Amino acid sequence: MSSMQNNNFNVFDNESGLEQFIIQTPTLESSSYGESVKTLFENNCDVEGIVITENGSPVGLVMRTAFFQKMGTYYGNSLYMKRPASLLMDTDILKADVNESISKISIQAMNREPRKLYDYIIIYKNNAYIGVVSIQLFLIELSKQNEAQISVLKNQQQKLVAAHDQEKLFRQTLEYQSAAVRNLLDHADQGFLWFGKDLIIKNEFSYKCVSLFGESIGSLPYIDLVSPYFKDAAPGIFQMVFDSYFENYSPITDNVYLMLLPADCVINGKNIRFEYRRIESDGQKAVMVILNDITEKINLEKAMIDDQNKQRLLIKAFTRHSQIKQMLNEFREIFSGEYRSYFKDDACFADNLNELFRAVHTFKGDFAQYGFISASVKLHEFEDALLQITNRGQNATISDVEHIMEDCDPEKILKDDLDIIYEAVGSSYFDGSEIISFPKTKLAEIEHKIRSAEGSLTPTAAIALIEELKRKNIKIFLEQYRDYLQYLANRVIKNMPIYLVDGDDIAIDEEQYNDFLKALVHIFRNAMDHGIETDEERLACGKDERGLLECHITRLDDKWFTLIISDDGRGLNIDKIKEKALKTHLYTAAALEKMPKSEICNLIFSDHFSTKTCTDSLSGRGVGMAAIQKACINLGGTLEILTEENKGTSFLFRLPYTA
Amino acid sequence: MKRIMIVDDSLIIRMNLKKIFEKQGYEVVAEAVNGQEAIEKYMSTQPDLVTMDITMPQLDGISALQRIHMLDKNACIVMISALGQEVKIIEAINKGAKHYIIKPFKEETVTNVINTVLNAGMGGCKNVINAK
Repeated sequence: MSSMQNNNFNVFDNESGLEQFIIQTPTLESSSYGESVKTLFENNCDVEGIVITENGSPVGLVMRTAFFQKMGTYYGNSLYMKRPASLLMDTDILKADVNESISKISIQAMNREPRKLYDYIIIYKNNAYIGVVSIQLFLIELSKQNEAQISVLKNQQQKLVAAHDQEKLFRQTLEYQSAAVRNLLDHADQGFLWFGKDLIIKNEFSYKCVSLFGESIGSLPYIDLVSPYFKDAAPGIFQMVFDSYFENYSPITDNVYLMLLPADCVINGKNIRFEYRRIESDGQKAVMVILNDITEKINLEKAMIDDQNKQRLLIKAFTRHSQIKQMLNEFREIFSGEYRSYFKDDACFADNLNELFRAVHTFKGDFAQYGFISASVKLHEFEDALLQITNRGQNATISDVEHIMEDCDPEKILKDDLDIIYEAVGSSYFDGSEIISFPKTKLAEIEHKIRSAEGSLTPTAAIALIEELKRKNIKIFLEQYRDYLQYLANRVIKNMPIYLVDGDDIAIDEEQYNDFLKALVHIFRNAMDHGIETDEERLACGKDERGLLECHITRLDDKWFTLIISDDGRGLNIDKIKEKALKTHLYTAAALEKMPKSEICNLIFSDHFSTKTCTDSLSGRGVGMAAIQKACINLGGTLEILTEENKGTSFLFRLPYTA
Repeated sequence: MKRIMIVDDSLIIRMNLKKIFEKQGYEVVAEAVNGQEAIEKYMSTQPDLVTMDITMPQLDGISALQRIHMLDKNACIVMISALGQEVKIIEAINKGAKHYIIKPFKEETVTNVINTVLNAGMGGCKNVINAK
């Protein structure tokens, strides 16, 4: 375009008009004789024509060719030489104003009869004669200019052709490149799409998006497309984030906004993770969305956890055979009617219900501890049903409880986990008699004792030796509480305490100690629930954020050992115990005033002390403390409590090796 | 060394954050338990970065953020928030917060966010506040 503007080849332009072609040619008055015309032509070889005027105004034209033709006739010379030029001139002349358009003049000139084709055109300016235009010169000039014009056009054309070729090449390359990119995107296992401020999805998106959403997503509003898949997200979150994103201009906060969008959802059964990127298009901020199918990853993780749980369950099934068996029996009993025993004393229904809830809750914990994950989850659902009854308050009745207990099949709760055990070891797991394991060295030791007795072994002594085989280090049983503590810690959202089992090795008979060992659960539960402070409280009073729970065993003599279980928590609240003792009318205020601290502590073991009072709380009523004392006494042992405010509580048991 | 102020009403969160920051070589120059204290301590210590809990007694985190921003428009504040408070976080960022961390947090997340914020756009001179 620019070259066209620079080349003024438009010869038909009126502005540059006729003026450039005007030449001056001699003029003669019409009264002049023919001989004057002849002299003028003969003396001026390049004069092609003479303008004949009357009073300075052109009236005719004598062209050289026409003049000499006339002279060449038989009487030509004698006829015209002494007569006025008006007889010689052609009066049918072409006149034009200097401002007339060239094209119009050209057409008029060319339309003249052939013999007059090259006659001058008389040019006026403001009605005054100013000169003539020679058609010959005019044509020559015109053709020169045409040539220039043609060459410019040719040049232009060449350039256009080259540009066209170039453009075609570019386009092909571009098409090839975008096809290649699209091909790559379409075959990636990720969905790509993008949109600008209008939040309308652009047409450049990958094929994966189509297969995910089941439709072509170009031109759809992004929020309408995805928000149905994020029902749990904060309402309006997409609009809010994008509004803020497109209104604010800061590269850091741009990404911060995008990070606030919900990322994971399920689309047509697939787990999809959304990733947002800030991009720019034509200097405008835009958003790119990358969709990743993480279904396989999630399934894999789930399978791994399932596997781990299975392994854990099987390990427990082998190492805690008898405990598991007992737990299952008790669990089945509770559902087959045993639950009614919780409601025998119907003084306070709500409290009885809480007691049952607590029992179910303990089973849930036990199941989790022994790797019965599925049962634990199902029991959690059952707990919810029980809670609903609790929430009915005064309106709840025993028949509500009967209803849900009878509706619930304990075998269904247990099935999945038991199947895992059956699959691995067969159904004989629960049928076969219990296997007792003991170290080889122990067997050798017994064998040695029998041999060295040389027949003098009394039946009592022999039985004692066999009993000895059944004994296990008490530390083994105490160690087993580690998992349970972890479970409790998670439940009350505290750090897992440092759990130490140390001191002497004492062998006990598992059967004899079973009740006692089981009752210890209450000490651990109370320690985790109440004794050990929250992490925050511990930090505030300068303690390590992890609590400490220690079981220390000391051999006293051939008959006795001590077990001390201590925590470093906040200690028993003496005032609260007194308060409770007063309420239950166990002691008078005066008696309590005189009572030493250790005795007040011991009140928590008293049966009456746990006399039920209606409370919503599910724990913290000293439940089970009586059970501990009872189990200890049954073994022939004694116990006492030491406690100091903010320092902790210790339970001291003095127990016999053999009951 | 970059100087950080921690604003949170929970002692355990403050302890955790402090441990993480000190491990990264940052100096914790102040701790505040509510928005009001945060503003006062910001004025006296002028930290390079503030972590601000959203929900706090007396003066909440977003109000404190706004007031600190009025005093120092270059203040670099990262919000600490519980899960499900996205709407409040957007409000905070619109009002000038630079980033956010969701509780419960992982050490790695905290480190990433703090490093991102401290390395981006904090190269310039710190605006000195006129105490009046």
